[in-house]
Amino acid sequence: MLDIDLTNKSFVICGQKGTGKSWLIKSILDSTPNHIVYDPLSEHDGYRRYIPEDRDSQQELSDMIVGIVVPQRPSLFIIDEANKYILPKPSRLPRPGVADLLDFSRHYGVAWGCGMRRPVQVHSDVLELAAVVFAFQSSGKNDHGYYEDLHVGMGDAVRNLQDHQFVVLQGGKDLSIHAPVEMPRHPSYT
Amino acid sequence: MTPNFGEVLTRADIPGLVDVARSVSGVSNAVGGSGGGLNDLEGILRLLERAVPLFEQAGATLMKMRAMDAQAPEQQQQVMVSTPTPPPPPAPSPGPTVIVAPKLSPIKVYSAALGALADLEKMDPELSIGAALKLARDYKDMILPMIEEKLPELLEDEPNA
Repeated sequence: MLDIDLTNKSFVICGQKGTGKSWLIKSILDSTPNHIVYDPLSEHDGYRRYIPEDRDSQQELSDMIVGIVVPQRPSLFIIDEANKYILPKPSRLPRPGVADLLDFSRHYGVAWGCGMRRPVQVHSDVLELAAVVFAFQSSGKNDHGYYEDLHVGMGDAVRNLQDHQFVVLQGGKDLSIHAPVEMPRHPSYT
Repeated sequence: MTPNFGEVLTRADIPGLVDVARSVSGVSNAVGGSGGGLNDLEGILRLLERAVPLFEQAGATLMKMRAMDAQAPEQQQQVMVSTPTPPPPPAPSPGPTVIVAPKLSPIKVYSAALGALADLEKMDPELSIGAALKLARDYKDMILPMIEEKLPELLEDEPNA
């Protein structure tokens, strides 16, 4: 179990396939039954999940947030494969929906997070405003630069991680390296 | 609502949005159904077609209201005039300060300018008229301050002008 309080916070989880990102997402989902995960690749069997009809549709994500997340206000909402929907600048944040979560999730009482393969693939506001950034091993030059911009030393730390270890940046200043998470309740091997 | 582990939500679980989309498109199964996109578009276009004249009408009404607002102060003043007790007269204010532009004789100003130019003789006794005028034009920045310097004298002489 993670020893990081994500209550009412926003967070991002960055990791390529096979690094341990999905297990971390599942472990976080295990922390509360009052969760919803946006699951375009149908990876989170056993969890309360929304499977979009059109897994490339920004509109469907916006509709889902406005129609389900905001009224139901789960304690935890995670958008997996967020890079499909929250495109980098100069694209705008999907509104209504993601932009509202960014502005109001704390008032909704919803902790929300985004899973993505690489930090450079998503809108920088999401990363820069996130209270917690989880990053798995990456040797990409752009990723290294991006992490270094977030916090000096983070790029190097991410580059030198062992399998399934991850770096956590909290509040933009506290950097730590974590051992792999334990097996979640509903592991599915992707 | 009790969260249910393993529950799978789909687009059908967004009831409000489906209802809104249906009302806009005017057709059932408009959201998520195959070929629903064109029906949606047609519905939106029809809605716009109906809404545009309404917007125009609202705009015209707004303009009329603004015009009425612009006339409002004038009407208010008329009401004040017709009241039986007239408002107290405004406190006497000091008489208006009239600033009268000083009168200067153009001839004297011109003479002063020529006087300034007379110094040129000392610099070049064989100066031609053309060259003098050119110099005057080129050095107007010097000549004008000279006139300005003599301005008090010109003003003092003003009654005799």
